[in-house]
Amino acid sequence: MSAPTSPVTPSGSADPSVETEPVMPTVRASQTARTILSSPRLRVGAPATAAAVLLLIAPSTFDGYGIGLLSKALALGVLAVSVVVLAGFAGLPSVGQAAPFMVGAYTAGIMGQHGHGIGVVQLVCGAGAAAGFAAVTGLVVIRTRELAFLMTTLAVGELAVAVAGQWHSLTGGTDGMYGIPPVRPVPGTALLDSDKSVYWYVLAATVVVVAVAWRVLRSPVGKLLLACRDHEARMRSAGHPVTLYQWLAYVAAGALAGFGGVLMCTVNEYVSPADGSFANSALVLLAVVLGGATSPLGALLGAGLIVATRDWLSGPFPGHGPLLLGLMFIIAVYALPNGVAGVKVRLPRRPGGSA
Amino acid sequence: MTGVIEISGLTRAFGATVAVSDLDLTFAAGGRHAVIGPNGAGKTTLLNLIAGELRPTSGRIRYDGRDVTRTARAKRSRLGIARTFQQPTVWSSLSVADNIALAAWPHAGTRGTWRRRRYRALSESCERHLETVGITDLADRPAGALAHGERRMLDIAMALAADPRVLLLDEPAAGLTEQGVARLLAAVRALPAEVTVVVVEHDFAFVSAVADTVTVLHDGKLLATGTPAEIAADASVRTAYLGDLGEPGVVEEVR
Repeated sequence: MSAPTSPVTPSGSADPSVETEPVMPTVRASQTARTILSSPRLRVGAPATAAAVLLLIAPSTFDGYGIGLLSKALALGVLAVSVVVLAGFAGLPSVGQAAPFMVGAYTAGIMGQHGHGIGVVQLVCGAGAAAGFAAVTGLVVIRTRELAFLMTTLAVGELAVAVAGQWHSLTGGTDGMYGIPPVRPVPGTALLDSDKSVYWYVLAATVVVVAVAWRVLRSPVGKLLLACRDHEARMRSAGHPVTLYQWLAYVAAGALAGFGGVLMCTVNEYVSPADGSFANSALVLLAVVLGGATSPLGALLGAGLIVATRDWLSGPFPGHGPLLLGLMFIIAVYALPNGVAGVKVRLPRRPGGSA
Repeated sequence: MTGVIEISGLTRAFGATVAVSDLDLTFAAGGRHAVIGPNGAGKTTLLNLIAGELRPTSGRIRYDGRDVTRTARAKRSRLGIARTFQQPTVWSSLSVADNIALAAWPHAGTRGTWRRRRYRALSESCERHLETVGITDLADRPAGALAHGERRMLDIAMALAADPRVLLLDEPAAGLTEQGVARLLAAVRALPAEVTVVVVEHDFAFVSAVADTVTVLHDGKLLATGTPAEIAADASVRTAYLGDLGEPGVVEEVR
């Protein structure tokens, strides 16, 4: 980007007594350009539009495998958005967020096997079950901070995986639960029996739930959470029931993760304890780091990048998916310390221009 | 004597160090109180105990007739005890206006502040606090980008926004410009008469200008109480704590 350097004649008379701090017209022009380029509308709008175009043309360009990967990326993206709520806004970097995700997935699997194959009902029940799971575990988890928080969330996650592996009658044990029948989005619609139809359903559900999360996070609720993250003690001193806020955020994030889990079950038609594994939790944390901690859209993009790297780019290098992920992580941390959403368009600054 | 804050037998020990030792104190409702003393006298610990940041080792704190010794600080804040911090603390990623609105939120008495419209109304009603401390121009600036003095003014405005009945100020004048101190004085004087102010401060000129009662602490114990003039004249306080008052209005630190 180059700043307009030719001096622009100001339209009005430049009376120094009117403006106490006269601004050079060129500086003003380049500032205007910088303002436009750094405006949230463009910074969010441009990548969002690009992603939307890709998501819309994908079914007609990709093969079944690619479409399936995209569906998985979306489901994982919803889980990543739940980590944005927790880690980015509430300042609670959970490493066990795959546990409510798994709870949601099992809820959908069990419902599907018992003939409750309506997608919307599964989504509501899965999110509800995961929220209940988070509500109970949150009572313990929210009391801890920092390293202890990492440890308890990890422990809760691993315990949930262990329970899922042991509780044969409900979950099918470590073999997992397979042959889960396809769903109908709402009563009276066709069964989702093709990759494409599943994709459209998952895309629609993701758009709805991420839009809701986006709207809530941009409301005063998001400010409450950010303030808790910035300085928790000051929030308490100001009279805010911080523990309640954090617990509610934990439950809401659990519900979101469960929602993603239901979608994952719909895509895979298979659930196993591996869905709740630490590997999944760590992957979405990576997605959030890639995307920028406070950006739901960035988290979705990050999840897409991860799935693309692990499952698609690794095609030519079979077995080296984790290596590619590690490389990508290192590059991301060095090149984009604030994530994709933190990339700023820089214009050359004129010496002496105001910051 | 009716005190809005009544402290009896208050003790707080940090390991072997006793910061506040068997203290009995009453802050009269509507009074302008100052607490002075050398570093380590237990002034900030006393404020932390009143605000609920710390729990006492023993003793009781009564606020407005009720025992709040075990009450959580968020609850005490909602009961009307607001404070500022020695190191001004703000929510750095939010704007100055948002900081004020969030500080006022639990005290606004309206429901549904999480709705955008209500929040905006709350934020607008808080603009006067920015005006009081003179940082209206900075309303849209992220609080993390403020200079130290501005941050202190914001911290004070946040305490004012809580509409407190008891306002605890921990070294509010430290690091402020002369103009800032003048603004701070005006803000404290403009508080409604029924608001009780307790200020911990080193600057004796500021203390004399603001307080009607001065309490001197030494080693966590009460040494003297009186009007600023009495304290300045008190021989024992003078020799032990105020040092040479020849230097205009500055309390010299012993230790």
